[in-house]
Amino acid sequence: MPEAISSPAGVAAPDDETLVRLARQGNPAARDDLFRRHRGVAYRVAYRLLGNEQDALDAVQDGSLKAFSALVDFDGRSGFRTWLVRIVSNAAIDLGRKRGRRAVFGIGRGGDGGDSQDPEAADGDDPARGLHREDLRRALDAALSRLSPKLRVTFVLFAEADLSYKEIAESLNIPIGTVMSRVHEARQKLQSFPEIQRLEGLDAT
Amino acid sequence: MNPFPPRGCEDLNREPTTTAGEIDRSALAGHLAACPRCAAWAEKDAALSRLWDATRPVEPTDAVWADLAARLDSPTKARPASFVLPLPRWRRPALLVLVAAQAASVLAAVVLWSAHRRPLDPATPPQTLVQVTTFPQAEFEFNQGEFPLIREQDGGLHAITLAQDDRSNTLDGSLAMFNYFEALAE
Repeated sequence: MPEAISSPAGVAAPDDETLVRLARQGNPAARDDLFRRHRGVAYRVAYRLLGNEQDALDAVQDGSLKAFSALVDFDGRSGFRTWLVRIVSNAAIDLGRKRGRRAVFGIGRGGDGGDSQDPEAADGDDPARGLHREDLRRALDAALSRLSPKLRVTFVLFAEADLSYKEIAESLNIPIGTVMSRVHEARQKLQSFPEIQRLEGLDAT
Repeated sequence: MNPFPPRGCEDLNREPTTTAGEIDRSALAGHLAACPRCAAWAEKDAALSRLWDATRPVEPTDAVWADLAARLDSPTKARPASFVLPLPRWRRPALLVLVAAQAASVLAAVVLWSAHRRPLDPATPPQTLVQVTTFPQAEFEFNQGEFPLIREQDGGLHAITLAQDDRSNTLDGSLAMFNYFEALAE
């Protein structure tokens, strides 16, 4: 792995635009920095769309390979982060179409949920706390899986990637009003699903 | 940023057509205090927001990221280069089935050719050319956990899914048989 591009103390790290330019010139460290900077949000988006760690990592890998091999096509109209997230989310959608969303289990039923290497299960936290959080995650994941793919991806880009309505509209190539209505509808549906309603009274903090 | 900022009655109705900053938050708070219906909605929205934050996926370990970065450095590690199709891990067993089916078809072709060739006419000179006929090749795509059967029919290869993954990773013989005859009937 190439060394990261370092910045002297007190000097701001290079912005994405600079890193993209360097990466286009074949600088592997710049590409590595870009990946390191945005892999987290890409992974979280893929995870929300697919519901398990392994598939999410596969989507990040596929999407990142596509993004970095097509870096010359990046026109800079949106930020690199938005661009990468869009490509990874498309990869996740493709992967979900091929593999299907893996089954998730309801609250209190245990099961693997496809997350055998969940760091939460391995850390030193209170096991009861980890179990509680895992139950919450399964419940939310089950509810997300009930949304249509269009609603799901729109909502995940909004709530997890923190993209603006405009950025989502450009990413999905849909009017901004459609983005707004989809986010609103997704919220309404999520609130109405029994998986979420069952959590009422539980402390999700 | 809170992805679910609480909104009020008409703002709730208008919400799909508003943009950030358009709603007067102080007026909204006043409205929520006076409108139980909107207050209930906002409370649910806030609960959903808390749930979303509490279930934010935990990032993989550094070792996992390092492995992924290495694959990006060398894409051939991410995708086996010896095959035309991209091959995620779960497809490798499917590829083995395909290769085995092709090998079996070639072997079957040789056996059939040997069994059906005409006896040599003593008057004709001995043949020096060996002709091998193969069945058409085909590629199949299977989902992880499927138990496929590949068979030859009408000069082509056909795949039948005998069973889907039931998470027990075992093949139910009676179900496979049933699916086999169902597929034949189609």
